[in-house]
Amino acid sequence: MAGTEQLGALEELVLLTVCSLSDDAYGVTVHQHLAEVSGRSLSLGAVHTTLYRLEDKGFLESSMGGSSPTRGGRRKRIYQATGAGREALRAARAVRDSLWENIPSLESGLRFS
Amino acid sequence: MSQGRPIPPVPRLLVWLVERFCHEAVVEEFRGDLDELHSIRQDRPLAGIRIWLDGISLLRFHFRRRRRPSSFFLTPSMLRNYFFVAIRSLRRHAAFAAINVIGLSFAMAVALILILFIRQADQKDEFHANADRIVRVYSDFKSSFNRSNALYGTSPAALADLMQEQVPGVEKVTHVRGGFRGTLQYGDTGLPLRGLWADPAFFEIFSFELKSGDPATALAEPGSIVLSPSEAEKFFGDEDPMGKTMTVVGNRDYTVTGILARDDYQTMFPLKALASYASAESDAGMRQMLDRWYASIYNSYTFVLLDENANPADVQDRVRDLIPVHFAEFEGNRLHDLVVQPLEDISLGVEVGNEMGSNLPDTAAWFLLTLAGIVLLTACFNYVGLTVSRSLKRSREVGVRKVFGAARTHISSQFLFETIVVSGLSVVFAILLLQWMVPAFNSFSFVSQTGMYLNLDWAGDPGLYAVFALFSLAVAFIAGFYPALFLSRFSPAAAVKGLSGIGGGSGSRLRKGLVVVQFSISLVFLVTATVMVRQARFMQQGDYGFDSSNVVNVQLFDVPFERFRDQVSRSANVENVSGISVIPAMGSRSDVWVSSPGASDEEAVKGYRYAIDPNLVDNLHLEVIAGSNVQDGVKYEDSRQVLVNETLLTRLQLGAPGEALGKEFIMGDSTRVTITGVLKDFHADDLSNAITPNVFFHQPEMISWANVRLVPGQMDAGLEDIREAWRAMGHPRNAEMEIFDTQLEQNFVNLMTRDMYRLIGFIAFLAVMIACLGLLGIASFNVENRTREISIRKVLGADIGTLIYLLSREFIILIGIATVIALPLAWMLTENWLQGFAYRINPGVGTLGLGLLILLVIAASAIGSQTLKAALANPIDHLHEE
Repeated sequence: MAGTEQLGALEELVLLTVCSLSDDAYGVTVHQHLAEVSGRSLSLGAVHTTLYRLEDKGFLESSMGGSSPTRGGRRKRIYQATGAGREALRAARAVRDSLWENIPSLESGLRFS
Repeated sequence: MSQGRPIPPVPRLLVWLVERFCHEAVVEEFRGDLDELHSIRQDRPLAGIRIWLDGISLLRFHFRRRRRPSSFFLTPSMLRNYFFVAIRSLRRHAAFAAINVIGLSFAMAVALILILFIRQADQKDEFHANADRIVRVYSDFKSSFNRSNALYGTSPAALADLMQEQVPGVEKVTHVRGGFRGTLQYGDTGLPLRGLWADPAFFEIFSFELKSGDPATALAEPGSIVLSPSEAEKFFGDEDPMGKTMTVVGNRDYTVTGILARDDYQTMFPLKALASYASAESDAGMRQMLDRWYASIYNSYTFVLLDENANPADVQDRVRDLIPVHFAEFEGNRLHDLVVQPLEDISLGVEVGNEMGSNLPDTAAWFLLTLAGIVLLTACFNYVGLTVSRSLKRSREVGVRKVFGAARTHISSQFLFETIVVSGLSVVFAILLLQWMVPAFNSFSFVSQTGMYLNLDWAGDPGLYAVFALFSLAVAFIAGFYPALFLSRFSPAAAVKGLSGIGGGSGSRLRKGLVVVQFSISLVFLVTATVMVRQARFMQQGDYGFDSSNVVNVQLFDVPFERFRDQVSRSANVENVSGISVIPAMGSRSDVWVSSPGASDEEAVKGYRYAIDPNLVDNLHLEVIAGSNVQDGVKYEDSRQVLVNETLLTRLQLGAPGEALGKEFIMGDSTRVTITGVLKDFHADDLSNAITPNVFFHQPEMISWANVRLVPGQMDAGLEDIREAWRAMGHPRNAEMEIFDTQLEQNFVNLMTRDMYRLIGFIAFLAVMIACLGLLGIASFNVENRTREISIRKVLGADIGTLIYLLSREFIILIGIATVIALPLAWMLTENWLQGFAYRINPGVGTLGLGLLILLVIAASAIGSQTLKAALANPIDHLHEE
């Protein structure tokens, strides 16, 4: 089923973030990392919603673990990309690359009219 | 962030909100995240407001569970829901449910009977404790009477002992011999009995139990006999049979040494009576036969219990090695092979001759299974066609379910479950139908003559329930798979709007295809059955070339023909009496190979031989066309004079009847005989066979039947006179006689043909009925969907004829296509079948047309009722709704 699911723009960003955080991807780190890299400040709820949706689609899997004193001893839900998730990222990238290749020279002035 | 400063806590109101409104499954991680985020951001501006914004953004998880509900749908509550939905939908569409259930249950009943019959055959002799270690040895043998080798279930009598002595891996052997038969007498009761000879090892190898008697010794002594409970009852009634002495008329006395525990063992052994093998060995004549391998091979069976560790392949090799040493070729008798066959492979296995009981050969089993499959498929197609054609009605339901979050698997499993319910209901009805179909099935002669009665042992056979349950599930999956897939495919939006190409498209094409397939199958069965009925009638009315009317055939047993003739001739109701060795046209015959003098073996022709008395020609109204009849005083042994039929002359190229007189030919291996007369050809065999070369000779001691011609109209009195004459001779057994005409009607081929057309005819009826039920369903649905269109057409001036044509055109085309497919197929099949008959009908356009006509009439009445109703309806009733 996962193969038929589409990857939205925000979902792609979050999924990439999870991959780049490797073993330490959970709500707060994803939230912070996204803010640092893209300058977009999402609400924590939006991050969680996206994470859950990605999990429903089979692109992520999660497990509870790793509490810390700053969390008041509460566990985190740590996410990891699944094979389908990586595949979806690769496919999305392939689409982008092929689109990029068809643009003769972006720098030389793409006009929006 | 410095170490010592206390972290300002997340506002308590926010914590309360998260705990109160977020789903409990996520509270822990969310609170942790809020704490951590807050501590990271504590120095940034507006930290207090940001934490509020983030916290409130989490509240959307109020309804959000961790995961989507598992797509595993077979939870008890889901199953219950499916069950109720299924029942509700069946009740709402009761007519369609009824059509489906009726069609399926009839087809299931037929298929079940055939499957259970084969299952029963397959289970034969599986109950023995050592069943997996018991083997039988069968032979590939060419006898001197035959031109080629054939497989026999029997083997030389000496084989058992040789295997015990010389073949490693053999634990035990038993000699079993068929052909124990005769009239058994106790007191005043004399009854014919057939059974086996067996030695004591029989009870050690097989798990048959004795009600009374000691299995170890019951078959040890000569003159011991073990009876089945029902046979013992016939002879002894309430008396205790043990130790009583019975007499085989004309042979010896037997003492009853055991009674079997049961009558109904599922076994190939005819267990009415088991005489000790020692009795056979103690008989001088029998002893001689047993000692000659080529003589004993026709009736002796070798059953062997192998060691636990024996390798059957090794045993097979060692058995084969015995052939050149002990069973060398003798006067044209050649043993080609001895084959070790596991007990479990005997039933439904390779077809061999001389089986002791009746075995269902694997080819017959496949034929029956194919029939069962076709019947079942027709019914399943029906279900598929009906369900798919009604999918429009259900599409809205599917759409709503999907909108509420049902996945495709849920929808398809729901529809599959509905099919399971229908199929379960049908099985219940099928079981009810079995109550009267099983007796009908058991009356088929291939069942009743072989004793392979289908017996449903509800109490003692739990496997039976498993068969029914599995069968029902299998049918549900075959019938329900496609509809479930089809219905669950609808996109919710289109389905809810009631749009989409649901009514047309692939569903419609499939439905039309199914109608064509169903009608083709129906038509093939109908035509085949019609041809079979006509062929059967043709054979029954067939002219055999002799006059069988008013003739009663009396079996003579050990009574000399002359004695009975003289006795019975005294009756005024008896017109004429003659004698013959084998009743012609009854399927049993004595083969003989005939050839011209000096011809090679390959040129010999198979024919039949008959020992007769001279009166036969006159009595059966045969005609001597050249030379003379056999003479009363001239016996064959002395004269070697024979009467032959015309076919023999043509086959052996002996010239015209007149020229052939006095010529000689070779009978069997080397007997030279002289032709003294030529008989006009008549059918000495059933009408499926061409007339063979026949030889008639005068040998009174070989005569075992008397043909008594009664005065016309005096049948009842004549039969009584024959009985009286028989009694007057003081014979211990009752007279056994048959009316010749009845016998001819019921000869083997006629019975088989009748069985075939009954079976095929019933299946044809069923296939047509099911197909028409389906047609009725589809037609009524079609009409229902087009009511408004019809009303508008009517308002605009269409007449009824046009409307009927409009509504039935589709079906007419479909049936037309089915006809084009089915008729050639039916013609090929029946032609193939008829080629097995030398005297056959040639089905013409009429026979093929009859099947088609029957189908058309039934189909027209199925479509017609619906169509007519729609065409005649008042348009205003259907138009004023909007």
